[in-house]
Amino acid sequence: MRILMLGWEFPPYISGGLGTACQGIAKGLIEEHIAITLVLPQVPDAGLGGIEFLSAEDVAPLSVAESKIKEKLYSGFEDLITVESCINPYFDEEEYQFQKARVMQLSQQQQRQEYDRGKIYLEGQYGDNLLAEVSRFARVGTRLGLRGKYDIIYAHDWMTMLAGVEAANQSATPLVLHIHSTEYDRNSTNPNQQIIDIEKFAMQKADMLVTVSNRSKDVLINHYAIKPKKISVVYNALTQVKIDNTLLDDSHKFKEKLILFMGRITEQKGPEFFIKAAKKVLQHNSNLRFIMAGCGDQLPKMIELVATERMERHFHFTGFLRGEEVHKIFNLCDLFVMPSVSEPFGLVPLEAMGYGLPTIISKQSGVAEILSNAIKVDFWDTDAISQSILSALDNDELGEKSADEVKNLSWGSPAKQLKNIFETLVKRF
Amino acid sequence: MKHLNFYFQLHQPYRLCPSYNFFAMGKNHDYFDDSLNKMIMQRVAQKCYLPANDMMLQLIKNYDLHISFSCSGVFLEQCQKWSPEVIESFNKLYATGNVEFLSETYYHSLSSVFSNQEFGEQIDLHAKLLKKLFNAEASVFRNTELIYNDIIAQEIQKRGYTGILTEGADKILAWRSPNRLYQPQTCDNLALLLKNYDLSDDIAFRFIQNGQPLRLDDYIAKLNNGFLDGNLINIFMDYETFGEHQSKETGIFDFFINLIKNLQNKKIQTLTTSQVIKHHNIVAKLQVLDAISWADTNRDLSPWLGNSLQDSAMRFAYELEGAVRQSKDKKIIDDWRKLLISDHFYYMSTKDKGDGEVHKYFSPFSTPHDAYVVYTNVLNDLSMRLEAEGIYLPDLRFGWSQ
Repeated sequence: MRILMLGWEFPPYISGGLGTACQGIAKGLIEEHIAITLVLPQVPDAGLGGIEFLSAEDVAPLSVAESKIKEKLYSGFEDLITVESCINPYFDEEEYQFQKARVMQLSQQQQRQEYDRGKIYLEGQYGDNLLAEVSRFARVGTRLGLRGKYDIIYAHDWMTMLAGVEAANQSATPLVLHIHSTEYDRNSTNPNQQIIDIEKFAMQKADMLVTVSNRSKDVLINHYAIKPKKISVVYNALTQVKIDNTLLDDSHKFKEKLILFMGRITEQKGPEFFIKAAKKVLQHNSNLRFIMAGCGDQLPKMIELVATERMERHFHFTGFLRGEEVHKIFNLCDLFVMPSVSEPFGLVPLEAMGYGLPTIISKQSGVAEILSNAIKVDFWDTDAISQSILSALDNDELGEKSADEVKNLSWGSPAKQLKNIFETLVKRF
Repeated sequence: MKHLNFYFQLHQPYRLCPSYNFFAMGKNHDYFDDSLNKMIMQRVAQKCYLPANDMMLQLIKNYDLHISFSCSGVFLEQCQKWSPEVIESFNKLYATGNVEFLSETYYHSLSSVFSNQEFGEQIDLHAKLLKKLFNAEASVFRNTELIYNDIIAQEIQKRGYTGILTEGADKILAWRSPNRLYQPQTCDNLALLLKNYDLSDDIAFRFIQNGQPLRLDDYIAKLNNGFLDGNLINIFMDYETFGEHQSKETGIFDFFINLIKNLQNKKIQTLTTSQVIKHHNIVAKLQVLDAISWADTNRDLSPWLGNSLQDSAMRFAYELEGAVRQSKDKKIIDDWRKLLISDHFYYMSTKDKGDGEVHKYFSPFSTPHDAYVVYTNVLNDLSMRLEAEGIYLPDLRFGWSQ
């Protein structure tokens, strides 16, 4: 079986769990003997054995007859979004306005480049011009659909959905959308209607939808009017890493226990609930330090909140961590908290548990459906979060139990489920 | 006779390493970005301090110019390390007898607001350095950024100074003119000199307007107008105005030379600050309850204490004072004092528009929040060093540690 997989981020260039999950899934599918062509805006240098990587600009212009090209299904969106903009799912209004002027010029320059070469150059990530990039990626989808012969088109999240719809449309191939998060998860208070429209359109066109939890399945049913039978739940897994403690230097002299928040610092992840809970914890035990790792549009506000609460002796911001630093921070810390407001799944708690950290997660996360040793609280209940922090720190067995629970997780099992879904679809087509 | 009193401020902070992150805490005690600090010191020495001192020396010789300087201790320290020729050139200027050095806090700090003991010690440290480098003794005090109120004035009088400088802010003057000599409400032996901000800022900030440099005739006309209100005009500004904030190409040096050349035939004489105090009578007392300064449009403490980041960082720093003293560890005390330099807090300002631009111009950080995070990382590391010496640091805000 050959599949065309469309992704947006891939390690080491990741800003969140999407890239990590795509890598895990791809690895698992290779073991199931599925041939994968993975198209990304930008291909990472490192790559991954057994996968054919293509970056958007390497997908050459078409030389086929015009008549062969079917009408674009997504043309309604193309009109809407090729207007240059700098919409970013993680920007608030202020940030958006700030970026606007700068982006206008930049994008014209990029478009010119693109016309010059017949190439479609994409930055990837979540830059200034995300919606226009998404639309250009859809044109990459046209080229891919007309050229390749695949059994399944398999797209991940809204950035790749139009490209997926287009590739499936041009090649008359079944389309599977893997929904790692929806706009309602990322921006519950102020969702972007254009992104929701794209998601709704593509979900309706898709032949099968995969969600990462029942919680996420409910979002698709309730917010996108998708029929339950068109949705399969496939839980994420954990990429097991060898924890090599010989690499660590233990010259950090924190005498206090360290409590970690790691994730994008956006409303979705509930960072302010972590800070409010931290304050309550400190009133009982000030012999602790709290660490917020990550970046995002809410970071300045969170720093101000910590300053206002005068927690500067107990609260630290690390900025975005990668690679070795992630390893270091997990090793240094004693407890992990993920108070997400809405989390379709939530990979980081699995990683934290892999390092033997007792872990507190919100009931509003998909990963809560599969974990039994994580402490589950409502994201808004900062009393419960603070009490859980205090009791987890006193519980000597929880860390070990946590490590045990996740040590046998692997991407093999989701890959098998996906293979079944693909095979059923191919037979039906 | 009409008198002009020029005072120039010289200061360079020890900027922190912007890369001092979470992982450095408890491990790395080198907080300051020496290469950047050295680079800036040497650059400004070439563009401003040396050529401006040359200019002043010529003007003293040719036109009997009198001027006052105030140099922060951390500025002079960095000169000694990286641009000793600047110290030499100041020595030459001082030898003319037409130059006066003013007193200030060694670490360019806001200690006057937070700790009387620290304030006094920093003044003493600064006096020692002036003595050592120039064999000079200051009789007039200028506080960091001209921060001033009645209580600070009282403290300065106690220390035996004859005068103190501050901003001629509208809110303290109301209908009065800055062009006269005043006295602090709480003092009987201290003169109060007020900056004429309009005539000072014409040179310091507005030298180029609509692409055109300030015209000498216009400026002299404005000076003469100012002398209608009183016979003393105080022109206070950063020395870096010459060649750094206003580049040489703007004509700032020539402007100043021509201004001094033209003073004689306008019957305007220049005096040093203590000469002013000798020659002028005090006309009235002025009351200043809330602290003022010469910075930003508000002319208050908001450039350093205007938001929660600055409040948190500054209070954290001063809360460590007792423990730092207790340590008796010279390196810790010096590091802590360098962390009191006002600039660290200035970089944390979140003001926008005009004031925000000025803060940004000076800051080595990309955002005020970065400045805060790095600063508090460093102070936390310093706290850990204190704890390692067995000094107990309870955080009383959150109850006693268990």
